[in-house]
Amino acid sequence: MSGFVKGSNKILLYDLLSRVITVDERDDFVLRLSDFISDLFGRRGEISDKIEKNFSFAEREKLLELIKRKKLDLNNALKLEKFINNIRQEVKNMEVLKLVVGFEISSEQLSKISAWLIRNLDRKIILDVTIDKSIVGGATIIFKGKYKDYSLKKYVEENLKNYA
Amino acid sequence: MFIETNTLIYILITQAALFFLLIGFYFVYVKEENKKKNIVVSVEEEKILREAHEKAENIIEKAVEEAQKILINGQYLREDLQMEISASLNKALLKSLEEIGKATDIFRNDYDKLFSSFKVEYAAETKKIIGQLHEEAESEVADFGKIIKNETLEAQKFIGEKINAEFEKVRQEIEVYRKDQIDQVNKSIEKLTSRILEEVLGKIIPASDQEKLVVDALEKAKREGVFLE
Repeated sequence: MSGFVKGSNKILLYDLLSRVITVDERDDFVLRLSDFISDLFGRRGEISDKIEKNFSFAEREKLLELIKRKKLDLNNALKLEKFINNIRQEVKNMEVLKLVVGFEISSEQLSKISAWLIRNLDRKIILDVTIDKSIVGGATIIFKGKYKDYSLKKYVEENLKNYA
Repeated sequence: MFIETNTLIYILITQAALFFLLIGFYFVYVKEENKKKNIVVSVEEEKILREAHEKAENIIEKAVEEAQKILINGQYLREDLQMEISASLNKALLKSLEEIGKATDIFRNDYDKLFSSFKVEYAAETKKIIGQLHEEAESEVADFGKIIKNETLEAQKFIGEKINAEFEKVRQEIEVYRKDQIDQVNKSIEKLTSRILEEVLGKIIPASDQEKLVVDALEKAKREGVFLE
């Protein structure tokens, strides 16, 4: 994580990104940030309206809170643009964890996993989830070029060999 | 003598015939000559010739009668001779048989004496030879026994080594086969297990347990340093 957000601001940012868990959600958020930046200078109207247009209620609240903590002027489009760009860059550069699971994982379960990652690794990691039922249970993990198979299938196979 | 009598008869008949033939020829010759000379044969000469012819015929008839008598006598003689000869032959045969019997007895006695002496000699010799053979056989049997014993021990050793080698070979082959079979069984078990895992276990594990398994995997990854920056 860059030095852009630190301490409690980081927590606030992670709160903002609480619904940004998977790569698809990340890409969508980055796009909305880009749209917002475009709107800052393109469309007429209040900035608050533009925020409302591009972000959900929860995201809006957290974004405004962040802007307030940064002591930014909401009417200063340039500074606001720079701030949003930093957020966008921060999100784009977030680490991606490829996860292969053996079941239809729900959004709620993905949120829990994301929360576990933040809690245990002290950083936000985007998930790239694939479902492969042949692994039966557990997960296969690929992170920064490292591959680890912690699937139930592998566990059973290894134990069978030991008994053979 | 019988044969000589026959010959005599033949000679007589032949002579008579020749004589008659000559007389005939002479008569023809004379006639021819007379014809040539135109000489008439006198009655006297013809009478002489006729007389000669009659005499010749008489001679021949007598000769034939004599010959027949001789033949008959000869036949009687032959029968007498045959009887005499048979009697003589029988006598001779009996005498010969008697002589042969005597000779046979003598020969048998001599043979018995000779045979007895041979028997004694042969028995002694045979006993001697048997004794020698027995000794030789005993010696050979003893040698043979030693050879057999040695050969048997060698053979036992050879066979034992062969059996051991074959046993080891078979044992290795069995081991290879066993490992191969075990590998095949293991592969089959793995395939079956995978199928069971996928088709059964995957469906019966509840979502909460699945989530727990994923979190366990993340924790393990963290322990193993997968997430190190």
